[in-house]
Amino acid sequence: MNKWKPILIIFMSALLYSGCYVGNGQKYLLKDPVAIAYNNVPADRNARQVTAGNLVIEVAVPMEEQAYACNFSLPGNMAYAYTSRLLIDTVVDIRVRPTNDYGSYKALDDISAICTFVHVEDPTIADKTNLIWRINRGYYDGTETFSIRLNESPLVAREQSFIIELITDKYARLADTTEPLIITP
Amino acid sequence: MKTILNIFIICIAPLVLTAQEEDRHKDKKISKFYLNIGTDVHLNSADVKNETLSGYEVMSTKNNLGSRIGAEYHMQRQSGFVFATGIDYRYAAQKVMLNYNSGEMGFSNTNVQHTQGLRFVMHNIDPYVRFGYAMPLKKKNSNLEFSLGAITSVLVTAFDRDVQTVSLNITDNEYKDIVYNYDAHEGSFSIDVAIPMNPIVALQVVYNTEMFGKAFKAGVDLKRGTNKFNDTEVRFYGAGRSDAGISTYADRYQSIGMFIGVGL
Repeated sequence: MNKWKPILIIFMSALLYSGCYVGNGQKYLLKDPVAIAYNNVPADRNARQVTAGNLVIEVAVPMEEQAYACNFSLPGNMAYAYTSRLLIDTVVDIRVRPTNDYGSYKALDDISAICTFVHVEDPTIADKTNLIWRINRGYYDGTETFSIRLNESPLVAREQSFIIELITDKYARLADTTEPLIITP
Repeated sequence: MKTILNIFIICIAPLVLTAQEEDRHKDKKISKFYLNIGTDVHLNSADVKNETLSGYEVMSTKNNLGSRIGAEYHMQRQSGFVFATGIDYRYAAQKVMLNYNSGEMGFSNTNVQHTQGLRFVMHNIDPYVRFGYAMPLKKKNSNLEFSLGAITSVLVTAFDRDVQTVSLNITDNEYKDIVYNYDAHEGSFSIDVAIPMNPIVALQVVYNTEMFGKAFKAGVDLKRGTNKFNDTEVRFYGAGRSDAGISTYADRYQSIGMFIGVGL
């Protein structure tokens, strides 16, 4: 038995000191958002107009899981092992840009300062900072959904579309444009 | 400090083991200790797989040189049977190249090029055993030895780099598009193995002789790992973060080595 002791020492030492750092959580990739619904909009498409106060833009941000091969721990390195849900890139800003002049804002200006952002699944999250934090947690499978309301009315009724932009820490821009609507004061 | 201590233990353990063997069978065999040094040509071309949707070969690699130094206990019976055990410290710096072209990867009307090298520096402690047959030659104390060995390669520098993302200005001058990300595991981290060591088989041909009153040997060996080293996966994206395929790199540690050894 004694002659096997050195071999055992080799194996045990190798297990303890040559392991890998396992920092590999589940990775999610944000995809382009989709503006999906407008509340209080008449069904007649020819009369698609809504007051600014009744407009709700619902935005869905899909996430796609990125499955990488290695995601388990080693016997000698349990201290390093953890599982987490992480985004490939994280949201740092959400912007709303009208395609035409809106109130005191020019076309394509960021009007997010006059918008209220509410997380659909958790309505207690009702401001942009907390909404960004919530999206970046990536806790929901599939999609994060939030709504946008306008707190200011336009000066005159006119057709508008809104470009919803998510800016990420990789300097990427994820964007979608709503269907045109006539927004009335 | 603990790591140094364990490397020391790894190094002296075979010597302790083999010293006991030598006392026990003093009259039936010829036992020698060798100090070996060698170089390996790593054959990497088959370690890369490109599975991009366009068929574009984004990832590539070349053959590469590595080196090793080690100590070996060598025992030969009068019948020609050879048993050897030892330990090598092995070094290799592998490299794969990524040559991304936006036009080939799903973006329209663009031709943005991006090149990146991923380097994998491998420091291995490789205990091994081998068995074989020594064929006597006309020259006194010389023989030609053929052996088959098993190496338990332990990566002492293995780690996970976590997912790295690369983004470029392709569709916009201000904002960037994510073009690929990669998960690189330097060392023996693999989907196939849950412990940080990989088995390697080695076929060895050695010329043993004496020079200046000392045992001397020179040989070549062919090695092939049965699991994967440096397991790396790269995911590519096209326009709108669409899937553009993957490339993988898994080093089989296949190499042809040349070495010399001097009796101690």
